[in-house]
Amino acid sequence: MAGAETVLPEGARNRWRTSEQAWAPASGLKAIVQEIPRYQGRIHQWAWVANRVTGLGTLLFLTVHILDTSLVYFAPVWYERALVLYRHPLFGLGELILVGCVLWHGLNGLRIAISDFRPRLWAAETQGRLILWTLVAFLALYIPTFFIMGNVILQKSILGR
Amino acid sequence: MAAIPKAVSRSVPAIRPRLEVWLWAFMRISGVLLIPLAFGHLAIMHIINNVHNINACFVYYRWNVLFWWRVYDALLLFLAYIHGLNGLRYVIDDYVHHRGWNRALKRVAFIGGSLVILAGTIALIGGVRVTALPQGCPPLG
Repeated sequence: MAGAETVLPEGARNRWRTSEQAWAPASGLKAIVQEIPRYQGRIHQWAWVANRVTGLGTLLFLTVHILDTSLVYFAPVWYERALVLYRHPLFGLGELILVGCVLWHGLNGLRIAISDFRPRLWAAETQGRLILWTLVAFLALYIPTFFIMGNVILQKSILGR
Repeated sequence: MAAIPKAVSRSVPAIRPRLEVWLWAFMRISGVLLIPLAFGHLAIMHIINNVHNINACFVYYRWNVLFWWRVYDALLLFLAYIHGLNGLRYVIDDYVHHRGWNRALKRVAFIGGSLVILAGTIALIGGVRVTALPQGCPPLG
């Protein structure tokens, strides 16, 4: 945007020039948590936060899941034992959360990929609408999934039918 | 009137810029491919089937009756895990500014992640051995 540069006061300008971390967001878990509400990026920011959290959650699950599935080759007995563990209701809850994570990360990622190839969509107002549509698609897919999977957890894991 | 100073040295050096562009493209391409792959996997393994009727026998039939399921799983393994590891790298670069810790964490993620992918690949190629099938699961052929 031509002519819209922010002119920083001399002191701040020098601090920025000399600071090694001028580009970076906060460091340290406490600072990160404090910075998130302070940024006030509205729904756009929360979509971004959710993307990070769901992505990291999915990566953690994937690590466990790839290793446990590889047991089917390395130690089949342990594979069956892992499955017995996964039939516990707590793991069922984790599975429900996981499916939600993957759904949100996938749909939100699709929004980002499409916007990157159609940069006009990056206008903040358009993004606000797109994020709401992403949320609608997420709920439309997740609510029925939640009931189907929840029913299995209730019937098999908890009631043992 | 230019208020924005020129180069500000970063405490965390980016990996080579050209590679960074390739990784950006990879995140988009793998992400879009993963939508049908991962959603399909979840639908088949978590909704149509579930952890109560999946066992070694199920995996044996899935991998041996139709070879393409192994290709599907291999694509899922590589695309999803590399996508995830690169995402982790973004997060580490964003929040861990201490040069030593930054490098150490990324190295641990890279080595650990490579081992996980290696384990998954070996299992995919090796498959389920006939001797390991549970009772009531007739081997094919």
